[in-house]
Amino acid sequence: MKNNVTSLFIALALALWPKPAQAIPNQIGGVGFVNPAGMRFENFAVLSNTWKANAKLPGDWQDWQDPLNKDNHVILYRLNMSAEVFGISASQITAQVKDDKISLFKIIFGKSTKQTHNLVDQVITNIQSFTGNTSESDQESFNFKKINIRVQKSANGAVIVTIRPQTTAVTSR
Amino acid sequence: MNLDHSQITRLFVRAALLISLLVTGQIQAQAKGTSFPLPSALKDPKTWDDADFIAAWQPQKAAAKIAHKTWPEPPLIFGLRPHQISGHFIGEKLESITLLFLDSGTHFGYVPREQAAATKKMNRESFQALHAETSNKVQQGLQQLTGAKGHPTSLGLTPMLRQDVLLFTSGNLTARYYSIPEQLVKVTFYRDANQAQSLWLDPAKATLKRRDRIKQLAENVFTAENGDRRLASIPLFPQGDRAYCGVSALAMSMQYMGLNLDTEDYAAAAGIRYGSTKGSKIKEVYEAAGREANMRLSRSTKFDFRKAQAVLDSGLPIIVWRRWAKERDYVHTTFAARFAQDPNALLPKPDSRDRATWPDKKAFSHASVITGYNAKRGEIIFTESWGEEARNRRMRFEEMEGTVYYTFYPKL
Repeated sequence: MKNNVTSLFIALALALWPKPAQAIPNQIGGVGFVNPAGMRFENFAVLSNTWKANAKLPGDWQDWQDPLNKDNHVILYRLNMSAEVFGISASQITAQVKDDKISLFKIIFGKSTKQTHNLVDQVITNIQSFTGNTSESDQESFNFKKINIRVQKSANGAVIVTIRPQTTAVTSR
Repeated sequence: MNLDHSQITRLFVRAALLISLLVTGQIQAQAKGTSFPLPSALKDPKTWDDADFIAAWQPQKAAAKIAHKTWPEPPLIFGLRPHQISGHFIGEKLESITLLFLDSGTHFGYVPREQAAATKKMNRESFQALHAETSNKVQQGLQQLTGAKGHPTSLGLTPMLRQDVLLFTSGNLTARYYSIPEQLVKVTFYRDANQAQSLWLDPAKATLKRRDRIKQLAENVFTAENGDRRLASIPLFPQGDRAYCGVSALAMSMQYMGLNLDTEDYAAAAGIRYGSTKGSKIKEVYEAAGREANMRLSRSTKFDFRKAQAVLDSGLPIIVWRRWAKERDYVHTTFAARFAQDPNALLPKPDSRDRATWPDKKAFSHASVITGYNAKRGEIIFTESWGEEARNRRMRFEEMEGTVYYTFYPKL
């Protein structure tokens, strides 16, 4: 009996003991969209040239249909490659183009299996870090370099971020 | 061939540019810099002092006094192409050259723990054969280069870090050959025969009195205008795409304190095989390195900002093993860039929302070297083994305290 208790104690102690350092490869954010664009997605999205007429979308984009899109003049594209936006892997990125200009980027972040914390907190914290605006912790709309970044939480736990020029930032769909 | 006016103009401009580069000697310098001079670089220390030879190592300018620079394109040496040729510089002086012929971590890259067993099973036989072939060729090459079989000797005090090596006299240099099955084959050429027979950067340091060592290390601490208290001269050894953050952090700290072992030496001693840390003995290697350096690396399961300040003030770096997530790393990466532009920039306050994004027990593990602090700003300054761009990053001390699971405080 005593031996069993000792064995149990040792097994429990070993299970609770922190595991040895498990290093990580240092290729953070260096895949997908970064390669053709030469920069992170958010850096591309806040460039003034991105929003000019006939601006090119770097990387692999495909035509996209969204039943919520009622505007016949809006063409939708979906990024057909992986991308990290604000340091977080995006589940989906779409671009709205109207009158030959990009009018909106919509980024959807889904909850990953590795993630244990609140996704919306993570997204907001990282946007604050990107914009340098750390003054209001409960902020959900950011203006940075004439661009508006808005964060919304969807019912299924995903987080939607829209990026568009400030002048067109009226309401987000 | 018909050329229009614009094509002729372009050709003329290119020719003029080529002539100007030849005249200014830039092309000549580049051509010289790309070929590793053989065999003179492995025999003659005068080659090591040649300005063009020195200029060819990358990066050209190092941020620390001790620097490992790499030769851009390793040539065939002894019929093999090394993974890497690294030059060990102290200041502007090249002290040694290491030819890394085989390293398990470089060969396999990063392998997640769950794939470790399968990777080992699939590759063990072929990698053992590769190791045997590589070590044979390198030994034969050294024998041809030096005309001798090599003198066997044993270096180091601790069983874990003891190295059974072969020493060769190569012209006016001394070569140290070291091999560990399933792990490593490397040769280091030294200017100084004493250095080749010691694990210390400067063998004289090993005999320094304790109070003199303490005094020497304390001289490396400086205070910047913004209140930063930092250690100068922490070398940076990039881990590459290898599961080597723990051993790179150790090599960076210990070389700063005088112990001349490389990342790959510690990885081999710890048994980081087939690309994974699974089953390795990194903590034990830390203890052994402390004993080799005649100091103690005391391990705590907590990080204490006050204690860290006292240790750093005495000129000693601290290694932390902490929880790490790429999503959170983004905050530190972007802040480093912003802080370089705006010295008044502030990290997020550690409020409840911020704390909710700190990596928890389910996150990856990672090792970093703490190289300073700013008490006024409440920040820890740390360096990652990722490259110069990851030197002197900043983190709120509360986050360091909240995410560290082991702190290694050195004590003389």
